[in-house]
Amino acid sequence: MAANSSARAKTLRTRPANAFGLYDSVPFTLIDVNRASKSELVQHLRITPEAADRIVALRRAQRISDLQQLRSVAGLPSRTFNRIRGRVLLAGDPRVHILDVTASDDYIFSDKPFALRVHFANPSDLEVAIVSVAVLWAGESFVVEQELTSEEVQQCHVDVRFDEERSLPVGPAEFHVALYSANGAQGSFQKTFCVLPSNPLSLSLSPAGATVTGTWSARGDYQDGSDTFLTECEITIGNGDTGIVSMNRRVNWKFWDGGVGGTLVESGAFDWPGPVSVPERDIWRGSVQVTSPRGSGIYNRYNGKEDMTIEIEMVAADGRHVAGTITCRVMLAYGVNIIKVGDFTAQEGVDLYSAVDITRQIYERRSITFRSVLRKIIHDADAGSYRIINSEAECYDLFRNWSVPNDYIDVYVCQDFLWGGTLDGFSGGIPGPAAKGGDRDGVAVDKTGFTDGSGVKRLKISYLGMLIAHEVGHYLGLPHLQETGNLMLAYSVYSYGANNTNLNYDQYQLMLPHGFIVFL
Amino acid sequence: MANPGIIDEFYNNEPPPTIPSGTQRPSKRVDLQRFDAIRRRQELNALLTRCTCGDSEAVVQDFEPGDLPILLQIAHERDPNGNPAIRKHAVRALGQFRTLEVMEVLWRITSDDLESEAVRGQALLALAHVTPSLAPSLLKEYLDDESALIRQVAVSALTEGGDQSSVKLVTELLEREQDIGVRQRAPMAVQSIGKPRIPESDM
Repeated sequence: MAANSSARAKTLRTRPANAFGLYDSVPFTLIDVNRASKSELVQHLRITPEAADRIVALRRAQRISDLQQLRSVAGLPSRTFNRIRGRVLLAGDPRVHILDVTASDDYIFSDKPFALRVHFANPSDLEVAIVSVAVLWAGESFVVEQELTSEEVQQCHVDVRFDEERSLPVGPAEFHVALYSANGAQGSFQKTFCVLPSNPLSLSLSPAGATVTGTWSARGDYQDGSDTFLTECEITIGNGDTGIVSMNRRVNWKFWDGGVGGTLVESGAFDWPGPVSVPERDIWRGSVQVTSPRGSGIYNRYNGKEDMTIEIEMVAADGRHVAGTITCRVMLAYGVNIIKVGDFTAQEGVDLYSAVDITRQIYERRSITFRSVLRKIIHDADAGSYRIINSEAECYDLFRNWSVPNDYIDVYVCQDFLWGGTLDGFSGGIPGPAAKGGDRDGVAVDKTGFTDGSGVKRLKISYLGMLIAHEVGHYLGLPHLQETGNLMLAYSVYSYGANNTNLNYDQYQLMLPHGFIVFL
Repeated sequence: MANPGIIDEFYNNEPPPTIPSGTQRPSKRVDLQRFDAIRRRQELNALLTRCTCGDSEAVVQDFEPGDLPILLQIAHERDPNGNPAIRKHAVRALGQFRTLEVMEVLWRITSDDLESEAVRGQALLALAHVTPSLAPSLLKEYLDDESALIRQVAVSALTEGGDQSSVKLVTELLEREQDIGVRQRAPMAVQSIGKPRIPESDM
């Protein structure tokens, strides 16, 4: 008798549909320290009345135009100063600040025109001229630009209109907003929405752990210990209506060969462990894991390296049926040793592994995944001068002197790159060797550090994720390629709003023979 | 193990996912002919991230004199939502312009411990480049910076712009320096400092 697959599920925490992105910019307010009243300073900056008095006294003597002036104010300990320094406006501040981006109707609905409202601060009364929005979504990225009217400049907000031709389907959409003044100043902001269904209920499937836009496949992971294949995907139910939608707990799942309506490989049903209730104008998310033992239809298809289509169907309490599909397949894989060169702060460590997760998703879109990510560090005391890479020779020395003895790619994340003035990544070879030893067996990248508005040391997650993916691409044999949107572009590896993360089928083929690529 | 034939073993036949309304949306652009600075800003954003991979062929980033105000603007933009790599490279690019304003901006960034070490380090190198004759005295201060990474950059910068007097500075530093990274960089600097340098063009 053939074995059968079984499914289990859990509800996932989710973010609101109108603030959906894990790595979005954080909305903020700015307080003009030269104009705000004492009570505003106390209330918005959460400083003591005494410190507020001293700021008022200081600005009577001279306009506050430098953070160092503020730092000298007695009663502002460095911790408080670091907390507020990104929230104050100084005299003559030459920047344009985007404070927040919202949808004019709070939410975005599928296949309907919408507008994004960009709120900004313009302390030096610059001639703010153009807003540019790059949209990353399931299809090809596009840009909408618009000139600002004098009224919009005065009001410090502008509505960027997306007409019917530029409306979006259900699912996540990432908006990279840039606001330019006529003198070339630029403010930036990133905001993600989950576009809600207009019809108004939908169910869609995505790969487990997906945090970037686009469509790709769920993985069938072979589990050594149990001799099973595990398929995990995420369910998102979108509710575009103004009332809560209760769903029946019964979930029907089917695995098809040749798409829905082709050959049914296996099917089953289970009850969701708990109530499923989709909030009004919001989403609900859950995760489904299907375990397929040896002898089951799904196991056999995966074992034969065939892909399948998963279909999941649920029914609302009022009888409405919703269903979604996603392709699932076994993937090839490589492992990475992520090696911090020098000590990182706790937040930098979190950012680094978020970036590595983006690297994973870039490759999964081309059906290559990570075997595993091993976390390594060379502490300050041992890293020596390798914390800062000054030359190609120094990279080779680093690769020669340090190595993780396994068949994973060594990725050295250095504190800084000062080599050549413009470089921030390097691969030991194209392709890199498939055996450890020598001075070519690794890639090195700049950690892309910056200090955020609260004084916290951070890494630029999106950039670092692409940077690691780019250098690993070299290691796996990919040369540079001038193709719009491609990960291996030599020029503009990353510019604001660009989504240069594509790998084409030829590149996929080129990587496969590398000795560090394995079939899981 | 390498497996050149591995691709032939896969059977990826499932129909690709479809988007009912299609995968393309037309872009809508503003004609930037009337906005020279914005056009150049966008070009500079791209130029400053051009050939950032060490596996690229080296490309000299040429900046026009008219780029200076925009590069200064980028240097001013400590924006957590912007791309720190663009700003870091812009700060380095300022080293190509020897003006008082550039020196002031680089000095401010270098001495601002609220800036990330990466940007401070680039500013320090650029400053040494802008003012080679003042480099040793200027960099001396940073040999005692609180951050070991900045001390390491200061030693590297002395290698680029220092003279024989710098050897003494680095030797003295070695006597008190605890950080191994700086200690390793220092002897390299001593070996390189004061090597014959190419005279500047006097055209």
